[in-house]
Amino acid sequence: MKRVLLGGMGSLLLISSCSRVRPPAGGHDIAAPRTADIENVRLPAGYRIEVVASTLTFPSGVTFDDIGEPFVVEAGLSHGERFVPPRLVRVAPDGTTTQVAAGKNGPWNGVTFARGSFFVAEGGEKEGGRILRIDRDGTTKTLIEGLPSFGDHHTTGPVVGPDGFVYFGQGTATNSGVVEKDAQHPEFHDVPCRDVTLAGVNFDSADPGKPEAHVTTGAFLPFGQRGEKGQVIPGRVPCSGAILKVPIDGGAAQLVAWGLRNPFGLAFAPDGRLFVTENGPAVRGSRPIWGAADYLWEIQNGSWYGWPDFLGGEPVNKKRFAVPGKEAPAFLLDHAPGTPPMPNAYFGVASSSSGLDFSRNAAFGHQGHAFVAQFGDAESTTAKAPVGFKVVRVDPKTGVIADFAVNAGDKSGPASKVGGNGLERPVACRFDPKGTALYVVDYGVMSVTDKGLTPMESTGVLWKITRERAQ
Amino acid sequence: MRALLLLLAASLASACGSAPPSARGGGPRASALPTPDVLGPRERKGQFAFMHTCNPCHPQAGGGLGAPLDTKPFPLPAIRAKVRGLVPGDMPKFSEIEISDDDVDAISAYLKAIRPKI
Repeated sequence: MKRVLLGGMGSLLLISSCSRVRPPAGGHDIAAPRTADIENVRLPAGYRIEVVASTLTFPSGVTFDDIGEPFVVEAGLSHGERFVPPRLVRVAPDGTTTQVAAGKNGPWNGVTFARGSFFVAEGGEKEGGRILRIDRDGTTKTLIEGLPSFGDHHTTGPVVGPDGFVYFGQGTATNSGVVEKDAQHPEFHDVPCRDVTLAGVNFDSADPGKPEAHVTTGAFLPFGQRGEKGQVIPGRVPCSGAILKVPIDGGAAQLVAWGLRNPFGLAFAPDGRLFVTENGPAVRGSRPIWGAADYLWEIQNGSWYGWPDFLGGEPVNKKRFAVPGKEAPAFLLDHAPGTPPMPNAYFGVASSSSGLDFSRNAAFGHQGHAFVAQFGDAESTTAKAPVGFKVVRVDPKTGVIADFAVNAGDKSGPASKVGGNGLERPVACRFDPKGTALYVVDYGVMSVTDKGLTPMESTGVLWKITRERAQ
Repeated sequence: MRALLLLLAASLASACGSAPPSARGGGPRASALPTPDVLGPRERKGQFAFMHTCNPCHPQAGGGLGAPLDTKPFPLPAIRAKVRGLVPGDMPKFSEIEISDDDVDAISAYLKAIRPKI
């Protein structure tokens, strides 16, 4: 294989197989150097990988304009509450980037291009979630705002559907339905898309403002507010934990599906069906849940997918969702507002299965299969081995998952941890317009320790995978 | 019976050991991912059952919340005992309604088929 060296002048020098990441000319200071080496990434026989761009800061999505040029969004807000401006940048063939637009209300969680404009999901940690339309000259229009993104999860996606609507995800405010004592906005809680009736299950916790005091919190309610059995929480749109859509020129949000905790990746299959990746609950907070997977769902219009009482189609009060030595979580709802379907595929617990796209070209192979970026653990877990940090291929018909791009060696994990200079944290996958190249957005280095998360700026990479026979 | 269970537990526990550390510096040079084995109908049935039941904790038969299953042989009786909760450990037990005996046997055949041949 040949090496690709991205030099400080941004020139593309095909001299070796290693891409030394350096700040581009005029770029901001690099926080930590990262070397991306294609020799350290394993692929199926017949495929090759190369580095398209590096020194990106917290990249979260990639799209292509009508002539096939790649554009990347940088989230601007990383785990660990690190804020830098979110940006949309053009990636030139030599790997250098040019800013198209910047914001101040990150994280920007993905981008798509349609009808001559870019559509960005603005996570909205500070001002609430939005869907933005950004023209080539950087002119930005808000298609919808006021999306409920002040909690644990944000506005995600987006993709433009066959009906011309912009589809996007809206994550929940909480891990499993209950506002925690450490919430940044204790008054901010989940909002159901349709009316739900509470079972009257409440959770005691310390009151952060009064060290000796305890408060009781119910589901779908602000911190410290008790819920009663039979209490109806009115549904409304926009809501938490949902797939929503908005007209491409802006307007009111419409409900597509709900009951999804953190629907991060959205993609339409070649046959027009919408698929979503959902990140399952974690073992934390007042209602910890053990062993919840991440899921691939085919989205049926109007359906409820189970959160917070069903996970992957199974009731959460099963023993297998109990933290070892504790009781299984109780239902929060008096009765389920629907019958949740079963997932198309089950990803590893804590794999953080994120952005996805479908192969649609026989030249690349695996037509109709989904390629899913797995970000990997973002919290200290009890897992026996790191999960994720790779790209997997999924047959949505059978649910069979296979590794597609993984780090070399005999140990799983991000390259910065397991050695080598391969993948760190894949967060999005997108085929180019021809469908012959799969671009993988690698968020970069983010270490996880008992002290918290430490993301590193300028360590993100855009990888490109092609099939050698297709060249 | 108790002796058998202890033996099975020891067998499963030994499979949970960590892999040796990989090289640092330039990192290991990647070889191509192995071409998936051509599975027969029995193994394919097991693969389907595995992906819909076991994959969350043993992703692609590797380690995760649970132990890796693709590195060492697991005799069918050991798998049956573990699935039915007859062996101590954190792994939840699965009833015959959740995974039939036939599916457990097929999963065993699948794991045997994908285990690297040494």
